[in-house]
Amino acid sequence: MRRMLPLVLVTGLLAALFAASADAKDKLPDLRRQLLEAQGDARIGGALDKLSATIGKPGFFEDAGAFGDWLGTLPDGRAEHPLVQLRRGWAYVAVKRGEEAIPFLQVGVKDNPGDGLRRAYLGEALRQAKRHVEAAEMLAAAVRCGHHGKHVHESILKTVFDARRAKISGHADALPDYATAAGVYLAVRPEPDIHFVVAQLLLEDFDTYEKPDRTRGKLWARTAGEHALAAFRLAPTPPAGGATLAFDAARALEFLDRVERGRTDRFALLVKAHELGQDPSGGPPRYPQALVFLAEGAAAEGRFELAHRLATQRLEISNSPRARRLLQRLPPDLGTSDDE
Amino acid sequence: MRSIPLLVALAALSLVAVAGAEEETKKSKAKPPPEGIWWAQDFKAGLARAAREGRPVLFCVNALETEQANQRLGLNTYRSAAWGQATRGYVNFVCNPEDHGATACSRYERHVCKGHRDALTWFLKRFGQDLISPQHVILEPDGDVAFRKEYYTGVVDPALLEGYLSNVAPPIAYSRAGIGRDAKLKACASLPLAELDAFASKWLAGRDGLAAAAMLNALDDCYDTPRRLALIAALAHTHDLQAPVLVLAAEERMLYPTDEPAETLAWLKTLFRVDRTLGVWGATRALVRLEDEAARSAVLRIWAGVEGEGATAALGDLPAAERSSAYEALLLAKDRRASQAKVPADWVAGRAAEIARARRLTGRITGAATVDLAAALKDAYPGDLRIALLAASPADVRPHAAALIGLLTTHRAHRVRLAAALALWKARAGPPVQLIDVLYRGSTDLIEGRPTVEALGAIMPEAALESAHSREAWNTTLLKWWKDGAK
Repeated sequence: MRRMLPLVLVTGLLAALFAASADAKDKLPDLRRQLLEAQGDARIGGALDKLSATIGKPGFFEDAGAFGDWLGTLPDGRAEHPLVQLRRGWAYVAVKRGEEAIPFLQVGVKDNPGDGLRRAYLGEALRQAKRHVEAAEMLAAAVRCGHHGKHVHESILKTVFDARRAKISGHADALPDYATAAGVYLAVRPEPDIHFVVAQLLLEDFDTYEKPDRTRGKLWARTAGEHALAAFRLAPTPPAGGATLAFDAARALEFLDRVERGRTDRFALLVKAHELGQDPSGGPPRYPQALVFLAEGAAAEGRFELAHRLATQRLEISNSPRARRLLQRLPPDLGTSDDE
Repeated sequence: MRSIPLLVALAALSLVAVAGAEEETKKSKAKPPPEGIWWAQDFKAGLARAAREGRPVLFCVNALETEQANQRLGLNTYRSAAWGQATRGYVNFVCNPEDHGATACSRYERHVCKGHRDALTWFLKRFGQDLISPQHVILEPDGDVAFRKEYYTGVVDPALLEGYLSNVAPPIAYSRAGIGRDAKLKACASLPLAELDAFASKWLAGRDGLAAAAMLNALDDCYDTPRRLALIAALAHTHDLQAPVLVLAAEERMLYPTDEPAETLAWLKTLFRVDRTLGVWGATRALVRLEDEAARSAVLRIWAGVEGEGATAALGDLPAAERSSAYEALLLAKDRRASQAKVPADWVAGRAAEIARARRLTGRITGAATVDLAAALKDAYPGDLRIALLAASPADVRPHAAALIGLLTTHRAHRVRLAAALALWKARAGPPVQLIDVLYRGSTDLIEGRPTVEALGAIMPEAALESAHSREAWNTTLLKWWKDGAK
């Protein structure tokens, strides 16, 4: 096989050169004529492929945007052909002219609603046009149609960040747009890194703009916790910062959890913060406070032995008045070596 | 020949000594650390250090540089040796938005501007944007606010800071209290016993925030029983701010009261005089652990404040708010007086005393042992549901088996799924393979693992569980127990 390898490479190189020269020999008028004369989707598609290959080459189109504009000038109704309109949309997306691309891509989607790739392009165009929630819906639809390209993932991540840059929702009981958009997508395709990012952003915004006792603050804290836990469930070994995320999410839920008597995800998040915050070299965990919060959670549901054990573990790491106060509230028979 | 290795060793030691001396010279030439407050330069690392080492956190907001009080604090007070010494046990942050130099900060000694800016950013987020400067805040290592004072009126001073060190970080206060108090410690060891109380009273009532911690140092160095008892009694003059430091020394006596019965009683008297909450804490612990009824009577007498050998104290003699604590302790100690006494009204209030303090007292409390599982399932608060599930008898569980099997897959809280699995397992109801799976996951959980195995150990042979190290062994062991039971 090794002997064959140079031969294969040489053959491949020659083929590529031949293809390039074949493209180069066609001038723009020739390619235009081929497109105008082509009959049937396959031939039209082939002619469009040839034209697309010339983008950026001397004597042809300066960039994809120029190519898109040129497609719009085609006569005899050719410019209105769904495939031509679709390529025109693609071309605009490539040069970040998403707003202009949308109507052409909508035609393309209407022409073949089951094609996930077309929906993915439309999703990206909507993102570029700053229609973030619609973009996420369209990207989710692309996934539903079976399209799982890497660019869909990139598009949704960009959508989340763009939407966050745009503004924080002003509605009293609403999530920020980026979280709504991400929620639409994640309902179709749960991805740990997107859950992780949304949780981080929500917690940052909660910290900056919200108070835990406001309606919106409660919603943000709860949603951040849900995203964080979803990220941990989907990727048991999360990226760096997992312990911090879990701990921050648990802190954000402190008020709500008290109000709802343990109905939130706070306990699970604290467990995660403790687990992920372990020092592999055997040193103290990164968030020893998590232990005392867990101990309080355990005590609140009558698990006094566990509460005692966790509070004692906290005190074994270092002094903690909060752990001491808790120990003083526990049943008095706890606390000798027989219980340990 | 034998002397050669010795010579080599001596030569090596002398080289080390020379190197050490050079190092010392270098150190002595280097700038000595400032006398004033040592600021934590990296904000995040500082907070992490506080939690890791159990240190309190001091925030000094010093954001208005041109204002007189801020200026005096920033440029004089914080640089003083008295403030420096009083804050050595803390992690210290100064909050200021300004820039005072590209590398080292020119306003605060041995500090960087990023540190005081980061501290201010965090402070604003935590305490709101309407900031008053100057102000001082002391946080506990886990982040709770222990003290906050806006403006500077002289209340915050080294004595207060040391007092809060005793309050928030007793072990650190204890380790620092021996420094610079030689004369007083010597007095504790040598004064006639009759004079000790007056001496301690004056010292503890004074402006020394580490006085109680220092007296504990003296107590630890004392091996003479009468003097120890006198020192413990003298500690009754401890200022309530410093009271938590007493727990450090008293805890062992309360948990092992029979080791030194006289000291246990002396500590109880002191604790009740300093802070009744601490007294109740100590007395309940001691009561539960004392096997002798006469010894428990002595504790009750101290609790009730009744002096003398012949005197007696019953539950009714205790302050009303403290009766339920004593009742619970006597119940746990199986003291006959608990069953003879009228159940305190506040004890039975609310969810049947948390299902008789989560079953620790089941069967020994009036009307508290029954569980309404159907109501708990409807209510669906995880904590309540879990208590109900763990407290329910197999007979209670079986009629609700279908609902509990549903919980195994639908309930969002892992600990509730686990409690449902345990309840079903105990009642031998439900699909065993699914239960075994939930129980296995519970047994490997960082938090739930040990309680799960212990709970299972109460149902089935513990030895078999302990040997089930692999998943396969776990499955086999549990399935065998299930099938054996079915036979």
